[in-house]
Amino acid sequence: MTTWWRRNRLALVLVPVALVLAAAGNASRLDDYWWSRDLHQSVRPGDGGTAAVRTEYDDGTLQYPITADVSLTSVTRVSSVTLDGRSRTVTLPDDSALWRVVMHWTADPSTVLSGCQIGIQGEDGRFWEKSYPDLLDAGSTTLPFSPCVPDDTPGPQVKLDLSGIQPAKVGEERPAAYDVTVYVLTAADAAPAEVRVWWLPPLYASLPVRR
Amino acid sequence: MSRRHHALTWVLVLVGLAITQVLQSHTPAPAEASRPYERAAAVGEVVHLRAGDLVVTGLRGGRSAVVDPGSGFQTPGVVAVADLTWTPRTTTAALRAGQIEGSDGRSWSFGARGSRGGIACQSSVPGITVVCAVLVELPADALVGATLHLRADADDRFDTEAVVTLGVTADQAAGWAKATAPVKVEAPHPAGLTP
Repeated sequence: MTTWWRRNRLALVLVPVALVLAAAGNASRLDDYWWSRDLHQSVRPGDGGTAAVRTEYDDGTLQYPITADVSLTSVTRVSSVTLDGRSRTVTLPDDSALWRVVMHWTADPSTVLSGCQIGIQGEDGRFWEKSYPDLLDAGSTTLPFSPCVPDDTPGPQVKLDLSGIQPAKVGEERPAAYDVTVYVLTAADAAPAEVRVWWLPPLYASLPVRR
Repeated sequence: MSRRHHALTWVLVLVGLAITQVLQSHTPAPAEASRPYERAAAVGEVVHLRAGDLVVTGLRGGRSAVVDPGSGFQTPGVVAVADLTWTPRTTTAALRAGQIEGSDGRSWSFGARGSRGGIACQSSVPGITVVCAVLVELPADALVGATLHLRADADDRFDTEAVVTLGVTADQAAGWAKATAPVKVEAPHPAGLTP
């Protein structure tokens, strides 16, 4: 038997290598069904509290770079929304809470930043995506739409037919730095741990909530 | 290689094949392995699905339905309306598909609400309950002894599925088949808000 082990030692050494290669050959399924389906790759803030997002939007049809710096200014539980400097009461669903999230953004005005999403990660692992108008009865009130750009000066946009980028109109360019306020509905017992902002998973900006 | 080693090699190969055969006979076939995890309940009971909690709060029926906002249909059979509440658990989730299975083995499946029924149970976020309904058009006699199956995704593999015993009696089904008043169905809405 000793002879057999010696004669086949090379093949025996290669068996684990072959097993690893066989597993790696199916690893695309990990990407298809897990990695690229959810938020797995966080971009955390540096010492100054600013997270530097450097990624690329690529939906298979359109590609463009996304370069922006974002920091979390405040996360506050509220019972009304503030629009144009005026406070307006909204009706909330049963057992819910409304949070006002204020973020500060810095980005080249020529960068496309529309189309991002925002959610609050709770300390218990629950995750609340921004979900109005479906879940929040604000009547005729128009709530802020985008978490990443000012609603009135969003900057360059993707054309509706996805054929390219539509630059901002002259005089309606997005500022190089600006604040954005959005509202997120959660369960009444939510304890926000971090705010997450993303364009396409798996990459997201992870902004811890200071308590 | 000696004759003894040859024989030993063949024995090892045969033993390996036999072990594989035994393992395969004890491993679920793919279709069986991927079948949904059924959670049985009755009307009014909470069903704990992977994505959230579901309650079939009531069952109604008739020969026609009026669905807010402003659409409806009539049927030569009955339209069964199951009123639901849905509360996601850890992340955004909706109820998207299912079927009514009759006691005779027939099945009426449904997906997103269309012009003649289906489910409209919008996405909600964890802890926020939405009030919604499913409408299914089917022969009146099929409802007796039927179960309502509901799930969070059209793909029923590997996930939990509610199996709710509807408890419809023959008299009830016959009454719905003769009803003249339409069954009114509200638009889906969060609990506590007016639709």
